[in-house]
Amino acid sequence: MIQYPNLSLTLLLSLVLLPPFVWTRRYGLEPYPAIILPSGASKASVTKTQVSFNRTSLWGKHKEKGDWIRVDLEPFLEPIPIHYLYAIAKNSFGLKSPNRKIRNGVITPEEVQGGKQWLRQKLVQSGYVADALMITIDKETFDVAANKIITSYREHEEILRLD
Amino acid sequence: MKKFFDWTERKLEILWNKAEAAAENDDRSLSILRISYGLFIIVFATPSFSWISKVLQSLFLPPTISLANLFDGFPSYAWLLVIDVSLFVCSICLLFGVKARYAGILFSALDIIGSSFSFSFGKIDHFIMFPVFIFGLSFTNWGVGYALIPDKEVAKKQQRRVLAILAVILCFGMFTAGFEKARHWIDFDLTKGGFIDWFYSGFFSTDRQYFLAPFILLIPPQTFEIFDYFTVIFELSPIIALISGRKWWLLWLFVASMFHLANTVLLNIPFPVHAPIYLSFIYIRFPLLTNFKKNSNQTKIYLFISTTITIISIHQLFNVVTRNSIEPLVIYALSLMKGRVELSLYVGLLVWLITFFWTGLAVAKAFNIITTPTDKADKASQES
Repeated sequence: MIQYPNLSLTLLLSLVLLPPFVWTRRYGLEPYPAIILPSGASKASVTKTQVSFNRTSLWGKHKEKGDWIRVDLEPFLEPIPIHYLYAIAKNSFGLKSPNRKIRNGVITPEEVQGGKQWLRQKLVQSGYVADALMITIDKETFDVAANKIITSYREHEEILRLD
Repeated sequence: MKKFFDWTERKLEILWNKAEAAAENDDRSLSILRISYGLFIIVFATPSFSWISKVLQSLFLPPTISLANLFDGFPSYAWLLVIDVSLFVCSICLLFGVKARYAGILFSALDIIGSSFSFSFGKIDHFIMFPVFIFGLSFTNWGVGYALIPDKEVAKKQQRRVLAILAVILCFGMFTAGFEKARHWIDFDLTKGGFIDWFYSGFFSTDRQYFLAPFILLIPPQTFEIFDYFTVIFELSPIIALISGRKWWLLWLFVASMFHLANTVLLNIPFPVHAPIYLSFIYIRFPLLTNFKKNSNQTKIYLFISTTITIISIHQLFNVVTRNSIEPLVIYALSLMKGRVELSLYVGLLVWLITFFWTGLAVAKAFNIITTPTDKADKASQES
């Protein structure tokens, strides 16, 4: 018979629940599994009629004209869920060294070739030229009165060569 | 020191008793809930991980602390399919009550293992409550009623404590979501917006443009500052509701259903796995099920169950052959949609409307706004 059943239970629960949360807040590295729900506390700049926000996009080259066209994400990424875009784009589709130490930070040439092959295939299936994929993050401003994006400033651009 | 421990124990006992009273549920309702979980999984949300084997290994970027980090890359199709098929079998066992306790525990373990790999793309989806609740509910009497091979009954005291623990875990989960938002969103600054950032980034980056989302573009953005405060209050308040008593806990669950319904139609973030979690604390009565049990002999029940299992198994076999994956029954509606994103939104809408109805009904009863015929029957049976 436990002498302090409620105290023991509370302590046990605290030991299970709190460390992953504290770890996540302290080091920004979320463990899994852990009882943590999405916080997503980022903010956009807002005025009476305008909103400035970040837009992440993928671009493929038009087959005939050769200019960059925004990729339709859902069929392109399939079967990867579309909301993984930010994480995958940040990781350059795994074609560069990872931004943290995983598998000793090594990506083998075979894996890079496999990744390029997969992306080429996806670009062709979506009707683009297979040689390159561009990842961009734009700071865009939407005006509610004009009902359109009025300014766009490129904050990040990365071209992945796939040949 | 002993005095301090005694005093703490007494205070905590009061709090845990309050949580138990607020989060309680009865055997019949829990058994219907088990069937609802089974149906929800099979029709709308069958976990499937075999798709992971189709993507490039170079994307493997597991969380630093994760089961997947013990591996060198994504597992093979065969391993992932074994997980998928096992999860499917567990969900059938939950639906029909075949040793539901073991099935629930196994389901939770496999779901967490599989998810460890699907969350190895640099992003963790926060579906953790779903396996945690199935695991916890396995230690209640949810596998006793309406069950083909019933579980051994547990003491009512244990059941009440398990539900209270699950409620506290849910409160803590909401706290983890609200804590960071409170630090950044409660800024009394109209030039910065949290909700509006979620909306505009999602609308333009990941095409979250369904239902009422386009109308948000027409509304002055500073209007939505109020949403930031509401979200923080909502996410930080469940523990207060739980300690305040059952009707306030039910009210919070109702607001939670409204919150998710609004997220589905405005932000296009459906998060349907939280629907059965909220329903875990609601008395659910389903007269059709009771009538079916009363009016059917054993042969008829076995015939119904075996036919259902056969149909669902053929469906899964067909999907494994044609799509190389296990799929929920709702997949047949995919041809009517633009893609899986749209399908998941309609699923979310339907699921949240049902949850909104059940939690709303529970609140209306708790605040004595309405009484239903099943309540009267329950009361009469308790009195007799």
